[in-house]
Amino acid sequence: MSDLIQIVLVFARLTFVAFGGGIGILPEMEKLVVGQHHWVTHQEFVDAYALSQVTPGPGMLMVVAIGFRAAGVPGAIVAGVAMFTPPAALTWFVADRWGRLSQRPFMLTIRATLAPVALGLLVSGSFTLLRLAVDGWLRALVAVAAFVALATFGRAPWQVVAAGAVFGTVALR
Amino acid sequence: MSAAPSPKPPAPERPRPSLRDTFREFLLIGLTSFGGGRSAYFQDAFVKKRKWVTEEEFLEAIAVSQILPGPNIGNLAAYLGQRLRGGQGAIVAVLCLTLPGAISILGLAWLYFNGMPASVSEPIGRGVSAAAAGLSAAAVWRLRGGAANWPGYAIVGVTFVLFGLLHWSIFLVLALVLPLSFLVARQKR
Repeated sequence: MSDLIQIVLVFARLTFVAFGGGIGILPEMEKLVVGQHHWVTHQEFVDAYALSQVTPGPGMLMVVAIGFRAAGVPGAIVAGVAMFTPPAALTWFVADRWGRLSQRPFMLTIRATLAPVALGLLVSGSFTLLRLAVDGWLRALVAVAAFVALATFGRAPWQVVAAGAVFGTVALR
Repeated sequence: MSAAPSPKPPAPERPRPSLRDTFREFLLIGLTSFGGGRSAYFQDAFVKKRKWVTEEEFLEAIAVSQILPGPNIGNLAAYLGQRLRGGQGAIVAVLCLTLPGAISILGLAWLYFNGMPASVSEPIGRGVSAAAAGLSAAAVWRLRGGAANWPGYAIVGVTFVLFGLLHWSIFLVLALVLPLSFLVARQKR
């Protein structure tokens, strides 16, 4: 039981310092789950991240694998809930308040203020992904093909990623 | 679908999607969004295909979900779910986004901690993450209209350099670029 409480405390605290994306908290998470609590080894931590890359949904679901190692299925559940629920509830609350203001004229200015900044944040995220994932010309080719498939041909994103998975299995071993 | 009487006036011109359609779109993303760059899936489903939110509203959702703490994509789902279908929508969105992946990763974690080498998934992961990186770039390309004019593009550039290249804290970046962007937005009107 005390394990479960520890898991909740660790991940609920981590999620509230995750600003501007989950990737930023990985070093801090490793310090806590590998160095302090010894729930997983360094290699298992890296592998948990790798597993999150071949499963759908948010990458931060890697905490489910860590929670599972620490305390079985109950550990997996509380880790996921602690990571996602508090910030989602906060976002829901903000979206609700924000929505009530959306008819006011000044919201047009606010929206126009946020749009280029959000675009800059998206460019940053995309750049990080490209830098991490594009290692060698074959993978660069996959990324370019994916870009064209979505931007030019309007294929569904899942089709593009499925094609990438097949290509990876055949050509990127 | 007959709408129940609501104390709040509905948003003009655009119909509110049914809870069923909301469920379907979020579940599709939850089942298929592999390998990073998940905002591309949301852009494709909600802006391009369904047209439930405009480009500007979507960028606003991105900004709010990144400014608030927590995993961005979970926040984005909560935000869009709330805007589309209120509190119910937010709950449906977050559950549909996270449960399929949580169950899959639990299954894989069980196999892994029972001796399956993680290297089994490595080639797939390489292909998936390269494709997902390309998708994320395409989503940015589709949303480029959000910058509107050259000062807007300058704001995009400054934000990218400070946050994406120099890895400043998001608060410092926002403290600098939001006032600039506000001035640009006021000029435009």
